[in-house]
Amino acid sequence: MMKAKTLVVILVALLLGSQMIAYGETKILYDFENGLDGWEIPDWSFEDDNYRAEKIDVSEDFASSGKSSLRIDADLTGGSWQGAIVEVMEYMDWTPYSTIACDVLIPPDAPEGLKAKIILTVGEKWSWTEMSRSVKLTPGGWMTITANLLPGSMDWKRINPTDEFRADVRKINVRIESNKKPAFTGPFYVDRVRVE
Amino acid sequence: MDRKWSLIILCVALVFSITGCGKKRGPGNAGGEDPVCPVVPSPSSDPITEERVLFSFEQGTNGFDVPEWFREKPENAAVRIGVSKKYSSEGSQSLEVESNFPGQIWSASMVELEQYLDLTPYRQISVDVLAPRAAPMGLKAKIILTIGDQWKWTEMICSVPLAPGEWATVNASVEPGSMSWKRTEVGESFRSDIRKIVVRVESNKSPIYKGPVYIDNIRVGR
Repeated sequence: MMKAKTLVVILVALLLGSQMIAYGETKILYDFENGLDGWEIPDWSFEDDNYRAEKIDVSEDFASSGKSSLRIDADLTGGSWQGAIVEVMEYMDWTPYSTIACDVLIPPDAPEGLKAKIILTVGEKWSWTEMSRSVKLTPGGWMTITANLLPGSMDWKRINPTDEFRADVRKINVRIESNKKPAFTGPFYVDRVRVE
Repeated sequence: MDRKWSLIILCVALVFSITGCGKKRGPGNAGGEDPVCPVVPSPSSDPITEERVLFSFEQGTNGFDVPEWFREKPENAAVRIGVSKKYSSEGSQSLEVESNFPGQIWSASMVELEQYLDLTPYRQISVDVLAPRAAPMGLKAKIILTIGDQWKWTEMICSVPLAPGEWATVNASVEPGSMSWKRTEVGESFRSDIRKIVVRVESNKSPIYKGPVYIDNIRVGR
């Protein structure tokens, strides 16, 4: 009898535990272990002087998980607002998830002052939806950029996300930015794009 | 002759009173020292019944930092920022700003976050600020917002004195008609396009203080 009770307790604990794990589940969307996964520098950005990404590739220089990450070579000359942007186009329904995140790194010899943000293209109108803030990057250290996708989130510029918002995501962009300074010519790395 | 001198003295007095010459001044404080809060009436007397914490510093600095443009100025009193478990007005951590107010000049420890915020549903923005027990009397705190397309620097019209060892709450109304903001007519668009939140702890020539100040629980209410 005692043995049966113990078994029930263990089973309940296991069930609750598995539910908690499911609730906090992370889905890796792109880890760049097998190539670019469809990521590219958008064509329009080559025609805009403010955007200065030059080359995209996978690299084993750094990785926040696994062996490789996305490497983007940028030429930010300073003096005006400039960015380097990469994107992937894919129809995604993130209804079960509450946050989007990715890891970004600038090399140890990069200057202080660069920032990064995630931008999504969402819905029928392909609405360009920037994060409401940019995250300061620390040279040599992986920084995690996170934004809440749930209704009421203040993480998106001029938009209050609805349930439809995260159900129809069409592009993910990652952008590093320099607002007049610093100037930076070199690579930055993106890895572990995920929803949680 | 007496009449002529009286006229000259009157003119000089007039010029002094118009220009404000002789009054205490600090940067962004052209009209003299700010009044002490809470003398500013809110447009609405309804109580705040619901609050939302925007930044609690439980997971880190939430991106707050000393503004780049202010770092090299002699008025900058902020030495280093981080989070601390020493004090918190809510939760278990707050933002700690190690400071050095040299006295003799107006100086300030200032932290900011650049983030687009639409506070349309809310009537008030608040922050808790603490100077530790070892700090002298005389430090004050205020909120500054950067607003709209022109990134307009918008200071609170008054400052809140910090009593050493006690959390002080700095409140400002963001409702249309609010009188909380210096030289600003607050319309509906004011709260819908906030681009930076700045919290500033200041010493106007005195006191001299070397040590931390703490910031916590930046929130909005309605």
